[in-house]
Amino acid sequence: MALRAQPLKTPAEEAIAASFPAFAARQAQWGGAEVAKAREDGIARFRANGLPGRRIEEWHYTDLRSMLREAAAPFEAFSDDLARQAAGEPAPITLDGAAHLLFVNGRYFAGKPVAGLEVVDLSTTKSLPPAAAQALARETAYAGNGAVALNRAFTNGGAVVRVQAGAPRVIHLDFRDVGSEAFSTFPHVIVDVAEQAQVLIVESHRGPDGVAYQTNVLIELKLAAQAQVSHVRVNEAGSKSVSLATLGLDIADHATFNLFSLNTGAALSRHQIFLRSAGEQSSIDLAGVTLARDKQHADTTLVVEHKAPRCKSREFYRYIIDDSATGVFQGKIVVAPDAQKTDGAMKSQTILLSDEAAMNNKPELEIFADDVLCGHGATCGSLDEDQLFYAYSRGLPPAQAQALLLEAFAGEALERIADEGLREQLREKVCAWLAQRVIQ
Amino acid sequence: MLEIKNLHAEIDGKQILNGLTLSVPAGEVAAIMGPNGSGKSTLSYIVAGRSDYTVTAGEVLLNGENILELPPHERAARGLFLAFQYPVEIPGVTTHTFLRTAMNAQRKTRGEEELKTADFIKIMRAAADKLSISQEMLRRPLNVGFSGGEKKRLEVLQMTLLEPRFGILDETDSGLDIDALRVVSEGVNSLRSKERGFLVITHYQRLLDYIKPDSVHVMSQGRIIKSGGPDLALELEKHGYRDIVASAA
Repeated sequence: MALRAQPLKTPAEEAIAASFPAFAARQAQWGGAEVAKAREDGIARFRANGLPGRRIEEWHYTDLRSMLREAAAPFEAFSDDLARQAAGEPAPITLDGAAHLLFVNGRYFAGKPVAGLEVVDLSTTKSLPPAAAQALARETAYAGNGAVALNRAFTNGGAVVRVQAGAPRVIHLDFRDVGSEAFSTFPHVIVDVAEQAQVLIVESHRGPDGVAYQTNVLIELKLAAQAQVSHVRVNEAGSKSVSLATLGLDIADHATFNLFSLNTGAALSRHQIFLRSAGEQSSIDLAGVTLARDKQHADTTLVVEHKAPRCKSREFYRYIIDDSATGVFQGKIVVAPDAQKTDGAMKSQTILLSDEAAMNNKPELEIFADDVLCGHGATCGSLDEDQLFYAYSRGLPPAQAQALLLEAFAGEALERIADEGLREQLREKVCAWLAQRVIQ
Repeated sequence: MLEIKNLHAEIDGKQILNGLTLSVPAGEVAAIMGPNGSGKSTLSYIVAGRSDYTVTAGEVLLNGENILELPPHERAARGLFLAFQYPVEIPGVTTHTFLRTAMNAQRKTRGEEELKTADFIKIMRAAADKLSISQEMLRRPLNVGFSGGEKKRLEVLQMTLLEPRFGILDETDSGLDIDALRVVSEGVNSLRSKERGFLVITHYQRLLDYIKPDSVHVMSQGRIIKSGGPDLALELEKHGYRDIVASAA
């Protein structure tokens, strides 16, 4: 009889499992039966699997089991003062006329009601409206993912948002983390976008530098037929933080979804995207720029599942990795047998700025249909010597020449942001990051 | 003026320049011709400061100052300009942005005020019009998707805007049709002045019909083996390099 050795639990795993019963008991008065069920489901998966580590293929390059040394306690001490403190700080993004949804340390703090937008605070002690309850009970293909299971077990706040046609043009999901001691947050936000609705969703994350806090965010977007959603994400989590974020996407026929993610924050970050395109002729564009320095570890992992015919998807990610930082890009396109005429193209490009910088690229195609157009490409290199010399010869000093080329490299990805004002704000962030570079 | 004295240089242990000496006084145009592999383009790169090459002996003086110890951007700020044989494509940087950045970078290195945007646009438009460069082209990424002729015209536009003390043209005629050759040559000729010198590197006499040199030099195996007046170019066109190279060996 073959014995499979069960690895010993790490101290972090022990601490997480031990903290659950008391946490769940203290938080039982809100969220209703759906949140309670999600907690039980999540902790059961966590108890069975532990933290995801290198034995699991999709976590091979981001071995959370060994990287997460300590588990910080879930944040529970919510107060209006906390919200005021957070709201007193500037947001990473400024948007005129946006419906502003503020989440502090995981919990939703309601602002003014907005016409066309229905926001249900998960932390309500009343029973949830049926639509919100149903949204929470949806089954997903990624429920078994290690980060998702943890989020569902320890959900400490969140909201269910319904966007009707005629809703505000821009919604800002503004996640702030506040504190000076280690803590962890587990917000869960669901956004249902109605048929033909058009919306720009801006998602931003910011927290204190130098504090070893941990965030594990789950955002689920469901686009009904012909919905058009642009999603721009900015991650400026604090310098010592662990930032886990999952974006679940369910996209119906003739819907359009564009994502752009700028990732500069956190000591350890992972943005995972699970996209399911279930209706015909949807159009999907996922893009992002990751800038990492010092010892940062920045992972983007995405799975795009084409379940229906005649859909189009594009993935375009650029990384600039400096010092001894590490980048990870894992992209998988899955084309189901029925998803004929799928048109998919995935590209990941990296510039490494130091000998110690590292990049792990893993593009994958799983194609079960026979009439599709799918491709992927990954490149990784240093700055182009010919381009540099050309710029020097025109009078640009080395630091300026390098910044110009790097800004251009990131800029080609930023071009995918349709909103000009937002694009410029992100471009300025890239320039600010480049300006902080120390050239040896 | 540009003075190159006994210049020796190598790359990966391979000797490319073997004691090259050449002097181009202010206000003059010198042409360098020579067979393939004689080191002509290497010479232009070394003078401009490309770091792949190691200078093992000699000096290069720009207006009396040895520039070999200076990084390339400081050579540019002191008035050296190299028009590339193969201008480099830079995706993501518009031509307009690159031109403004280059002009202001040189000004900054020299301790001068940066150009105001309105002034820059005025100067750039006037210069671009003379070279038949459209505004649309200036909004495109630098050299990306440009034809050979467009790239060379853009090199001359950069030279016009940067107002160098000395210009090196590395096979600026390659890849040009006759009309483009005329436009580019007229652009160069309009920059000729008493204070400014040029070194024109070319394979063919044809370019020298448009840009009339004051002196012509034949380069082979990393040094100048023969110098003369404009007639030397005609002689080379007629008889080729072989006899001159053989008699110098």
